[in-house]
Amino acid sequence: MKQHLLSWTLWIPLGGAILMAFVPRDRVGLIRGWALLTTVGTLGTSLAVLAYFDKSQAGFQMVEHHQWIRAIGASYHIGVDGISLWLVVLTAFLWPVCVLASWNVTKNPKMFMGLLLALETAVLGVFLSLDLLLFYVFWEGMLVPMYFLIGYWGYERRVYAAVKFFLYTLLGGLLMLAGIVVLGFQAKHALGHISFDYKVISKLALSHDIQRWLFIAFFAAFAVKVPLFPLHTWLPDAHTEAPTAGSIVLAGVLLKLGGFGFLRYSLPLFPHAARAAVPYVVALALIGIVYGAIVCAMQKDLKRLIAYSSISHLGFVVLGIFVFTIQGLQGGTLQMVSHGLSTGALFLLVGFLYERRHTREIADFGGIAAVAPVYAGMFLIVALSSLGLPGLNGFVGEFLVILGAFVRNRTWAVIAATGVILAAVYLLWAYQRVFHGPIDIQENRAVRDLSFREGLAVVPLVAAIVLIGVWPKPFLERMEPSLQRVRARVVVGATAEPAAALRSTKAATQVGGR
Amino acid sequence: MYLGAFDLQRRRQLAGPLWRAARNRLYIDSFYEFLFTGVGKVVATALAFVVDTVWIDGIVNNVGRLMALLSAQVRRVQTGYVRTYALAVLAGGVTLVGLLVGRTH
Amino acid sequence: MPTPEIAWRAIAPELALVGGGILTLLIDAFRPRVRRDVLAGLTLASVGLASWFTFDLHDKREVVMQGSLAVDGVALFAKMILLATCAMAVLISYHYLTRRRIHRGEYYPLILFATAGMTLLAAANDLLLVFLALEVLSLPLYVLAGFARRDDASQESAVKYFLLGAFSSAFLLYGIALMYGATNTTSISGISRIVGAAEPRLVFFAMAMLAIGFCFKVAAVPFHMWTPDVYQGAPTSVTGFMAAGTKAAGFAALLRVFLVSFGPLQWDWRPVLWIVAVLTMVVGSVVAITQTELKRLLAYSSIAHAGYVLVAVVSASNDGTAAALFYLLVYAFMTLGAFAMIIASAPGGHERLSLSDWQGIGQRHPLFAGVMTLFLLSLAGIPPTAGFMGKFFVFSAAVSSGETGLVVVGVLTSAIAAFFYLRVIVAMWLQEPEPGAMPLGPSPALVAGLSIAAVVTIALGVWPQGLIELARNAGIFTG
Repeated sequence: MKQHLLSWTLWIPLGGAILMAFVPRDRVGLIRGWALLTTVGTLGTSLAVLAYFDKSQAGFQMVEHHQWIRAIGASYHIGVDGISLWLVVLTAFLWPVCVLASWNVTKNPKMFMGLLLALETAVLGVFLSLDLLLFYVFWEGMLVPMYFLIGYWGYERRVYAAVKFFLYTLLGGLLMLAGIVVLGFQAKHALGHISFDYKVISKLALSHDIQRWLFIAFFAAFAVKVPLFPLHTWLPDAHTEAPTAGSIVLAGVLLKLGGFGFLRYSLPLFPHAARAAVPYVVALALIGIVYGAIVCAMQKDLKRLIAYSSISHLGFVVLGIFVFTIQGLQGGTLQMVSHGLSTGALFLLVGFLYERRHTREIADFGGIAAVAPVYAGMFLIVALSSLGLPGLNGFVGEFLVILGAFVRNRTWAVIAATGVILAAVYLLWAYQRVFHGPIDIQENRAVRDLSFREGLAVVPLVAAIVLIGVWPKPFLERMEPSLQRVRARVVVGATAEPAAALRSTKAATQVGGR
Repeated sequence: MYLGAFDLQRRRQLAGPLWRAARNRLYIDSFYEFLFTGVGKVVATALAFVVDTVWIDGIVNNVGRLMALLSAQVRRVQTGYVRTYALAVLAGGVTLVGLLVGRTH
Repeated sequence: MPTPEIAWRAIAPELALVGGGILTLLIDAFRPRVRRDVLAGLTLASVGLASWFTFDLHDKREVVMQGSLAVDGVALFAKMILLATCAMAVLISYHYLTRRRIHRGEYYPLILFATAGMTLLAAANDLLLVFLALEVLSLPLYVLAGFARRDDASQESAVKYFLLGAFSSAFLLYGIALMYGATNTTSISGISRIVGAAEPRLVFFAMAMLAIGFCFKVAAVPFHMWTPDVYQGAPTSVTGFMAAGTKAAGFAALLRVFLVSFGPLQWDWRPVLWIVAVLTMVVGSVVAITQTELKRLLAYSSIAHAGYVLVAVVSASNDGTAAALFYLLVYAFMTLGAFAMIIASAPGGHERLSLSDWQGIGQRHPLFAGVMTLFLLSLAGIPPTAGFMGKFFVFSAAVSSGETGLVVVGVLTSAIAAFFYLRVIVAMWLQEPEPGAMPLGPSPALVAGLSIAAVVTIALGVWPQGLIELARNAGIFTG
């Protein structure tokens, strides 16, 4: 059983979706229950993965390797390491929350739940893949369910947001595809047979030139996903117009794919290019942190505000990754998990508010704390975690990132720190306008506090937020060995050009003929 | 209130500039409010609604519009007349001949 | 002159097809009132028989009939695609023709003869046979394009196809004549042995002429201009057949001529075809953006796909040929599927041709819209569909041959193309249906055909190993 644990985790959601196709469309209760059961089942297997995870190992664990497309050197190769472990658990953890949040979807709930489950498999696939073609199939495979979730069940500008999301992400992904194909052939030149296997490719010694182009190709896809300034404009629209579950999924998990991509692919595979790119990427990350926060403050739509806050928070992740210090790397990785929980919770809570008042405009609220104190309390905890209050999860990640940046370059750390201050500005100001003050608008008096189902969705998130904030050790220590390994590859990587025999494609083709 | 030499009320009415400054917290608060809330808001609004919405998003949306325009223009080449199509075949053929035979020199 | 040996076994597939054609023609001539399903059944039987014969040859690698016919992996694989295309075409056209009141008996012999021409073209190892096969496949297609006798668009498409087809055939023939002048042979393998020593200007001139003929047939830019009009005007089932079949046959012949005959000259023609490939991918993708008529949109999509196969041709390698074969098979199924969906979209003689007709279908008929979405995603090349795997193999072959530039263009045009496929998907699912919209018009045979196409599209997307391995082994020319 342990041997196939990852495959179970990966395929249960899709299996659930396929089986759900046989449920009649009107048995809504059955549909919801089945979706919940499936997602909780996946959570269970992911926790088993967590339990079996050996925290002293830096390499991949619970690896499964089967034939897939032998002709092209692509195989079904999955595994988990310190970097992907918590992302997988985060995914499995957030999905039941999404199902609970979408309990009241009336328009074709069967299709909604089906797509949501299919999306879970695609996302888990990206985290677990150890074969580049498999990775790509899951990466692009994510697009279609997400596109429909936004476009069909979203709000007013949903079609525009969905198309924008799709094309933006697709373009980045397609450029990465070109990179993947080239990478597969680099393997052929070095080893004689084409391969897309991660382990094989990570042993290649690529010339600096090729590294640079490949880094750019992969960067296109990851930068859009993070999102890194200035490729971020798809995010506010997508997040705002998506239904609640869509926003939670987008913010909670999909945005992590960019950072994950950098850690898993860009840094270890193209170390020289990554080193060269540091000034530019850090600049973009810092701009994202500050810019995201400033623009955030002026937003009038609550969801849009949270969306821009994501841009700012994820700037921290990228900064942490690209300073190449172990604190930065750990901070960045932990921040991915923290952000997923905090921002996911924020979107969840805003979704509850929308269900009651059918508006997202901050101006339409005021004084909610008086009528819904439990809700206001939960919101406060989550907001404080998002701005990085010590004792909650956001602080650990952000602090480590700033510390890691400080070691490398003090100015960077200072700029990043202002992001924390700005976060306080926009979050507290928004909180004040929504929850405090007198109740000017009559409808706000009728806002109900959290129901049992809603509480069931929120409380685990808040608990996790507090847990990571107070006791980050188990999280950090499992990440460390794998991150140390990434660091070793990119910091102490070979600086000399590898031997000519392993170099460019062109030379080999022209000499070898067809 | 009369506390002898220290008549507060009279003091208040005969306020000097130093007193006024102290009362207004040395104008630090006002300065901060002007700088951060006032100027900051202007900058933030500019960033949010000009840079992000008009400029950056503008580029994104205009790429799409450019493609559509390009498509509409190229589409006009399809005239529907066989003679045009035959001419295109001829032109293409001549070009191919030129390119291929040209390689022999 | 000795009596030529007739390799009966090698030409058995063609004999089955032609025999079936003659049989159905005679039956239709002497018994005009015969039931159409008899004719259709006979057609499918011929195809089945031809498939059996083709399979029978699968381990043979030889050149027969005095070197004019090749029995090799490429020819057999292409025949497989063509026979499947023919069968699919019969399935999807049956009820459609009846609904449009054009279900005349001669449809079946025409389809069979055209298919026979196509299979011959894929196996032709002599330029004269290439020309012959091309004509055998084209003439029935001209008639089929105009099959809807009372429809002006159909007649127009037939005339246009005929005129332009004759025009480009003339170039082809001229090229063959020049080639004979330069090398004193019309045998494809023969030419490959002499071409290095022949008078270069003559050879390259001939090459250009031959290229015109082939590029016309497969709709490469700038020889593509007939495609939108002809695809739009012809009866939809014929369009599907044309789109899938002529490309497969045309590319098989193009590969054979350029990789075998002109193999030694590949560093000369590859850059030129590079330009054609880029133009084809770009024009096909960009112009499709503003199309609102579905058949025309699919016509431009066909052009773009031809561009991707050209990338495989320019790669000029075994991998490239295998990728091209794989792509052509996948392409046949997804294009036929898409056109079949158009047929299924409305009852009676009408079809939902305009984009606005497709608005909101997803709300009322989710399964229908779902299947169409599958084909559109496959055409766009989104994983995990067969269309993606096809593109992946083509790009791999290109990189392997050093043509990374083509891969970048291919990737960018894929992104552009995604836009217009997405537009149809958006219309189906995310827009409100017009009031009083037509119901759907599926029929049993159509559903059978669609199911096969859909299954292939998903199956090859997830498990392409078997087929690509087959294509790899097949992708070698004999002779």
